[in-house]
Amino acid sequence: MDWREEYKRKLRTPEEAAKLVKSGDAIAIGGSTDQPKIMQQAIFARRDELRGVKVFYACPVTDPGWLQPGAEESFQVTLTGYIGPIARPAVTERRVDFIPNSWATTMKAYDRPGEEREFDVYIVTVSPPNKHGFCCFGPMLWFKRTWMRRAKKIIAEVDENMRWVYGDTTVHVSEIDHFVEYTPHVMSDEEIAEAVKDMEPEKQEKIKLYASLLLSHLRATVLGVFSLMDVAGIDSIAETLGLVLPKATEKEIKGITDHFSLLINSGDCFQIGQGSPSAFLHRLGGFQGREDLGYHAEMTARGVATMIKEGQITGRRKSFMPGKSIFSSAEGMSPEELEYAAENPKFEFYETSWVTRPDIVCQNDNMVSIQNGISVDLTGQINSETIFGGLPLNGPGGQPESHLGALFSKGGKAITVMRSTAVGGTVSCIVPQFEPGTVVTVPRHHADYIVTEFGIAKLMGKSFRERAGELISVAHPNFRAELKKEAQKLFWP
Amino acid sequence: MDWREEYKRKLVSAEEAVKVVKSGDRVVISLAQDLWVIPDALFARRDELRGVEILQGVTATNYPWQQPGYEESFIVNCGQFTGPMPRQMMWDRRGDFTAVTYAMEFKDQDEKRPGYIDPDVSIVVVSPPDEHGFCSFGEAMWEKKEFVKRAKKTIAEVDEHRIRTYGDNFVHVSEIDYFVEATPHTPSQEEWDQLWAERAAQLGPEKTQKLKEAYEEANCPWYEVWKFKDAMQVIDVLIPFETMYTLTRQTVLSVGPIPEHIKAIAHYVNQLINDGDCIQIGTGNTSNPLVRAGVFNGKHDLGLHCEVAPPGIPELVRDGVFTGRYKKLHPGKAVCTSFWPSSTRRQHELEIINENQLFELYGSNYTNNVNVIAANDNHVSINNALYVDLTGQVNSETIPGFLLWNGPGGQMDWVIGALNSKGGRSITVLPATAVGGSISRIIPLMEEGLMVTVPRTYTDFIVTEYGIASLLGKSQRRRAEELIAIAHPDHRAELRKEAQKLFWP
Repeated sequence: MDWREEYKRKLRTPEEAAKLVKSGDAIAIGGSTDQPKIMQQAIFARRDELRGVKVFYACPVTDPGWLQPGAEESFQVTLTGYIGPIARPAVTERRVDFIPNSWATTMKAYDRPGEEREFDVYIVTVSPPNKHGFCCFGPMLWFKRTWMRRAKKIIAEVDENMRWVYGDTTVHVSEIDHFVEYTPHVMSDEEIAEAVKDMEPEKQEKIKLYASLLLSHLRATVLGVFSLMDVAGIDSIAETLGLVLPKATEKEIKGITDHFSLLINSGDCFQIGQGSPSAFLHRLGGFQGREDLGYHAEMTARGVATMIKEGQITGRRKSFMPGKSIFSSAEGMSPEELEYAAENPKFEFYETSWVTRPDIVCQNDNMVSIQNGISVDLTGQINSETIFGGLPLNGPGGQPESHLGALFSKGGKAITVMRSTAVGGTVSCIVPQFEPGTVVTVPRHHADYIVTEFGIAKLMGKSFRERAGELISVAHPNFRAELKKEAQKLFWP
Repeated sequence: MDWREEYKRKLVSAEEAVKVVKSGDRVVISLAQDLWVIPDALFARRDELRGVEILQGVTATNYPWQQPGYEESFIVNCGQFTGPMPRQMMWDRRGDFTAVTYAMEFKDQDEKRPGYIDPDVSIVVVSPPDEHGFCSFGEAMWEKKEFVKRAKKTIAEVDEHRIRTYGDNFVHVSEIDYFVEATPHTPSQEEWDQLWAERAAQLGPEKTQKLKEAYEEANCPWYEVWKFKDAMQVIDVLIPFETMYTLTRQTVLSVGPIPEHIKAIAHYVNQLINDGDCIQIGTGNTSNPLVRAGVFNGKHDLGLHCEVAPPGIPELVRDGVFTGRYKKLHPGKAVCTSFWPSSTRRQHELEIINENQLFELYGSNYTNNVNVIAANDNHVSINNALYVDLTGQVNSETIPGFLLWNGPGGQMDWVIGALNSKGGRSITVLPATAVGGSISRIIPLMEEGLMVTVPRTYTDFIVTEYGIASLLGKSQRRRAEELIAIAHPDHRAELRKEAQKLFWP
């Protein structure tokens, strides 16, 4: 049968497709910022008839309603691996559950005999089919195929704006059970200006600026989030997304970048995590003067694609997949960067569960992983997930794996970047010991380089006393005396 | 030059050999070796030496520099493990500690990172040379060959009792700078009497008699009792007598009935192992007696790729339970970096291993390399824990108050290696309670001072005497449920209350 006929036969309205979901089903939502929208709404619209539907997804960007209180009997949400700003209130209030696995190991459990996790229904966004009947999962690939393989029924939302990228990103019409055509409206600059016109002028300007810097499919979501926040909150999210360098902490980030830069050589292959300060390092000269860099990472911080365009990242000296830059997702790219990456053979996209595997990562010699830390204790335990003891801010994401992959790589370095203080300089991020409940993302025997605005602490192979010395020397001077006193108690008689 | 001449030329007294150590030197002593004369000779120079850093592995002997009062002469730095002997020193914060796993141990040196330090002097125990001039590190290889390679000077104590093994467990006479022959002598009756008299003075006659009987029951060769004479000094000081007595019988001597909780854990772990699996099993108070408790009963064609193999494994290799038939890497060979023969059957086990082609020993940086581990499909790692919290974080190193119980060892290498292996599983075993049942080892969240050995992202199966908790891929709530179900029944209500607070609205 010609795929065109098959496609036509499988085409449904969102309401028809949503009827596939039964009470007690496990449903999974693919992708990240490109999560299907109309299907989530259509399923949530059935909240009164559905009971005990389990919803699995990572880092939600829209909420059809099940992240709000009140729908718990109909929908039980479990987040996998990453939380993100939209779901954070629901996690903080402990209304949703959370799977704290890193990317490459979650799927391992689901394949074990007796432990298999099957999804009854999987919804995912794809591009329209090409002439051979292949749809593209698009540049926000993440786990789309990995999850699809474990689902009984697959519903694809076909988005005409979905861009094609190379790598292993396609799915054939014959593999999908139902298609729903829905192309979300992309807000124009004028529409955004109209939507914010009643807000205070400073907030208006901020939202308009940030919206123009975001990938177009994110505009509506971010507008929704921003309109509920004050200017400081908006700036904080913009910083996390790497949109603009925050003025208030510019000096600190510049300091971190200067020290960080000393660890980078030409020919290194690197991975840079989303978030602050990591997402600014390369834009503030952290790689200045280095040539023939390589890239292998699940995510793209803003500016990395530009380094490829400008020829600073060539992948020429990569020992694994030379000449190619490897990604799992294009979130973080600017609109211009995504335009450059689409259908560009220099960019290849693969499933996260493969990209982040330590034994894949380490096949690149001189692999450098660059991740953010929230706090580190004097023995070298690194926390990137919780604040004030046990309050979860984020999940582990791919951090443990990228970190390990870099350590296992010949000549590799695992770099954790962080500001020395938080909460306006009142709290040291280098602490004697973790408060109870603080989650350890990287254990101390795998801690390597910690970079703050005050320097580089080199922990690998060091003893407790040496580590304390290294870490105190990169702590904020205001806290050093106190830390020294505590270190004395912990490590000396 | 013939190696025999070279050997003769390098043969010196212990006093002569330790002259090579200078103030400020870094001296490395790998773990699991019984040095009989060099430590005392080095310690004798305490008044002339200043700031000698001693990087030492876990040992059964009580190195003299671990006592208080010599900190200016010797800076002790324990690597990877502490073990019982330096525990008091660590709790007094007199010693330093280096937390690194075996897979990463030489990364900074191999890659010539700025500031890396090569050791100045390494001290090892070896067997006498064979006809080609090669000595063996015996049943415990670890990083000794690496240390010899990296140190500027190497002193070797030559012990006639050391066995030889295959694998990479060789060092040539030409690679060593000084030989000191020190085959331990059989203690005289007076020395025996003095040993037990010392214990009686410390523990009282009743406890001493009990301990003596345990050693007699084990029919221990004198060598073993003598080796543990130092270990006995810490009884009742750091560890209550009853606990130490039980652990000594169970873990060190492998005598007496197997405790019920160990039998139960062995039963559950047995369910997680399939024919043809490649096994790593750690040494520890829980995992050691598992072998004797029949954890591998009824299994066929297992493979061994291990760090330190606990007592009983050599017999299982000889008897064909471990054949290595399905191993992809080193098929047919039992691979590890060290054996820990039980004291009771030490000679028996060493005879099985000695010059036997079935056994191959490699350096710990090779056995623990995660890519090497993952090269075998269905790799199962079995390791110990002190505490597990409800999110799945595993601690096997410290007890509350930031008191070091042990170090990370190679645990994390094996957890990752097993998870990277196709079909692999990582199992953590622990009794549900501590301190006679009054404390649950399954706790709501890690307390201050409890180090995280395995982050929750990598925790897989947890086994107690109450069953199996499977955590990989599970959400927080399901992890909590799984873990509470294997906690001691007396502690479940409390844990449920805490879990409710942590993970539900």
